[in-house]
Amino acid sequence: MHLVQCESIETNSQGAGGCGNDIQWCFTQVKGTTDLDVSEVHCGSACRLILLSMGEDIDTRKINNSFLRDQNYVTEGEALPQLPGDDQTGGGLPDIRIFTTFEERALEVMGEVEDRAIINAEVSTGRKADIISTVEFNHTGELLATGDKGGRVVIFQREQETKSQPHHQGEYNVYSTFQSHEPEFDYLKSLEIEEKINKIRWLPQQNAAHFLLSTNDKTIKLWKVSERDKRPEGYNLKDEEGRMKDLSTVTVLQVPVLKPMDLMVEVTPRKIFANAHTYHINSISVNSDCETYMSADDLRINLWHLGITDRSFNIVDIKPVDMEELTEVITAAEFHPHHCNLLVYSSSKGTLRLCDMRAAALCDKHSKLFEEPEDPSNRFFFSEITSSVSDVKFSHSGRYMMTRDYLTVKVWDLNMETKPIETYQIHDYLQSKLCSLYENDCIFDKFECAWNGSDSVIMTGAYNNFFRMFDRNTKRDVTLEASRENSKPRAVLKPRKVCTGGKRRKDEISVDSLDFNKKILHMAWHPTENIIAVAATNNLYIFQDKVNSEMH
Amino acid sequence: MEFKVEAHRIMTISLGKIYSSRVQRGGIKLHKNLLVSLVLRSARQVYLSEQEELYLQQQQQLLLAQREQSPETWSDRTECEPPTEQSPSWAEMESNISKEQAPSWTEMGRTDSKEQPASWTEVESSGYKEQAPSWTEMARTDSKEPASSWTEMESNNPEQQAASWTEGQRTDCQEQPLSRVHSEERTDRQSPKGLEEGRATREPRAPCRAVAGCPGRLVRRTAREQETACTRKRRSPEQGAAAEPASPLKRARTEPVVLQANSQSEEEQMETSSNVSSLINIFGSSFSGLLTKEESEGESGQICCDQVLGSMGSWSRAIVAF
Repeated sequence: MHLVQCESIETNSQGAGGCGNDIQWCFTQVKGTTDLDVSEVHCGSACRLILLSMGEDIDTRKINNSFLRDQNYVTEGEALPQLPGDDQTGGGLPDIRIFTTFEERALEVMGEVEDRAIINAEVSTGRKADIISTVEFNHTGELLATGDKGGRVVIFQREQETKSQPHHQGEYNVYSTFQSHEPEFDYLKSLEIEEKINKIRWLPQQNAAHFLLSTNDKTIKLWKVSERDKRPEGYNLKDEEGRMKDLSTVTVLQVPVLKPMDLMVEVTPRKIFANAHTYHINSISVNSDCETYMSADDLRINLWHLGITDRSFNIVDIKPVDMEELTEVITAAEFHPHHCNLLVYSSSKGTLRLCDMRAAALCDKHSKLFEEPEDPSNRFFFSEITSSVSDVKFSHSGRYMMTRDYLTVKVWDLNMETKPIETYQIHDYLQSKLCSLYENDCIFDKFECAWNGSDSVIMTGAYNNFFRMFDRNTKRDVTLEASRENSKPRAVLKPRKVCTGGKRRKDEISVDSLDFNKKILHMAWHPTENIIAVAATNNLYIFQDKVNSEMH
Repeated sequence: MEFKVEAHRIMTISLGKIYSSRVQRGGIKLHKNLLVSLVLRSARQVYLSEQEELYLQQQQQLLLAQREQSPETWSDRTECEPPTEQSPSWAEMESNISKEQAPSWTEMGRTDSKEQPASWTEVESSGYKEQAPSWTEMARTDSKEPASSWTEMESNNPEQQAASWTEGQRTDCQEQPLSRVHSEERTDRQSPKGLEEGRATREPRAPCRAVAGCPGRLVRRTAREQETACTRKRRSPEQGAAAEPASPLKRARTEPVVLQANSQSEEEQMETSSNVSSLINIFGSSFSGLLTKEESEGESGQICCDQVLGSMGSWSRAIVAF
């Protein structure tokens, strides 16, 4: 079989360290226009591109309780570009922009020969309030929620696979949009409370409705997302429009029946958990008992019951009596996925503390302290900042946990406290640039990390809209880019490489030409499949690996 | 030497960040400010260590000359203490404002000023004669450099302070008048100075021994005036945006207070310490002003900057040991 290598040969070695020359490119179908730059490496079939517009009514920023499904509102701001080859248009409202779908089979990642179809879904708006601040799949992966700086939450739902097109795996379409938080003003402290959604966490589904928790700096809200596809008809006293009937016209009594209607998604706030945090909430985590959850701010962690809003228990408090002695703050916290008594929280000093709620009511004393002794030779101005943990995630198995600090990702075994079992350098080339990153505040960026469903691959974001994946088993890694260029028809998600040495090869990017305004901070990995959602500022990219199921 | 410049630059940037974090939306982020203060401390340590080497080199040459002046230094220090004590009480007055969330640097300022006498005391006890010469010497020989860096810092600080006072004013309008008046009276007894009043009234209390003093001060004053103009401009939009009817009068009142504390600390430093110490002092005293706005009652939200400044005392000891 002849494999078309094209000029991809020299790019085979891209991807920092690992992918090497084992990459084999598969040529498959291409759907859509073929006017792309052929010199781009592609083994692609078609690139399926779905562009959705995430917007809202021009005049409302209030909580919308019900939406017609797939109804999109357009935001003010720049118009979304129309891609060539649109073969789908949104129906109904003239504002809708649903773009063409291209299906793309891209190169392999992780060094395996794979057939990959990358589906890019891009949501582009262009306003500062649309900067995505959190991304989260639900427990089945059917729903994907994003929160943004403007306090809105957008939920995407995966389309069911149709038998007629088995290769088109479900794409994500807008399911619901609602305004979760509004800007508030704390009159007592004279502070404005940002409406930016810091975290969204789904609750495990227990009935037909979906529940999620969303939080800003101060308040956590529990939302119920339910569908309504039937409505009762045939009331006795009211007519179809809801007007009262003239009683004289009522001659026969009828029993109202449920008739199908257009699917409507209702989102209602069920609980509001407020006034429990003095400092900014940075994490929430639902317990495996599905009854409680915790919220963590800079100095305290509170335990809530999902049904009780006027009380919360403080389980961790690291605020010193004398604030002069403050040396560290809590940066992230999470419950263990299986043990409802275990939680871990990370600090700005780079330490992790595992706490057991059975030990005491107040878990200030950790059960385990995970800390890697600092290499004294690394002391420099910014070593404290770069060691601050920005995200901690338990593996799905519960055996490991992963922490992200500014330059590395570390995987820890819960049984070993002395050092992580794996450390991955994300962008070590930034070591020499720390001063300028400090100046432009980039050094304070909080990157998130994600496990895949089988805990074999970890992923995290970087600058220039790059994100990196590390395969823990094969020790291979790859750098990919989430960009519009790659979203065009037949654009291929090719591994990128940052040139650190002197000689820059053709497709490499030098460290100095990295765009530090384009950063991927938030991302999520589907719980079971190889679908990732990557937020690049105000765009959401969904990449999908169309691999045969026996591969996994 | 490059480290020194780099460290200084980093310190400047850090201060700028701390300042701008006060005016940003959403309140002060504790984590970021903690990190910035850590960087500030590291930078200062590097800076001080560089300075220390410099002093040691020049120390021997001017030892004799400095010994004459050291008694004066001591008396000046005692003079300086009352004003620095003022800021703690002032901070206490302001403490009825509940802003627990925002890190309050008041304690830091308080600790800082306490540290200053403490370190000086220590200096004395272990041989201030050695130390004072080196500091004064430094002031003399590095006259240009400290002056310029002071200028730089000064130009940052008044703007920061004034603007942040404005910010504070906007938010805690009502509780200010009483306390302000009180502190105002006290500071007015000292050397009165105010942005609106102009520069002329500013009287350095300390003898102008250090050669660097006069040109440095002049430069600083000019810088201040320029900053005043900028600050005024900045203030007016803020005024307009202010929810409360914060009067310019109140602002005028607060600024002299802050700047007063500033000038005092400056004068102290010119006599005794390196420009870095002065920077920190200004930092400290200005923050004591800034943060009274945001200190919650009873609960002083502090940052380890207190420790940062506290560690400065340990540096003094280290220097003395030589």
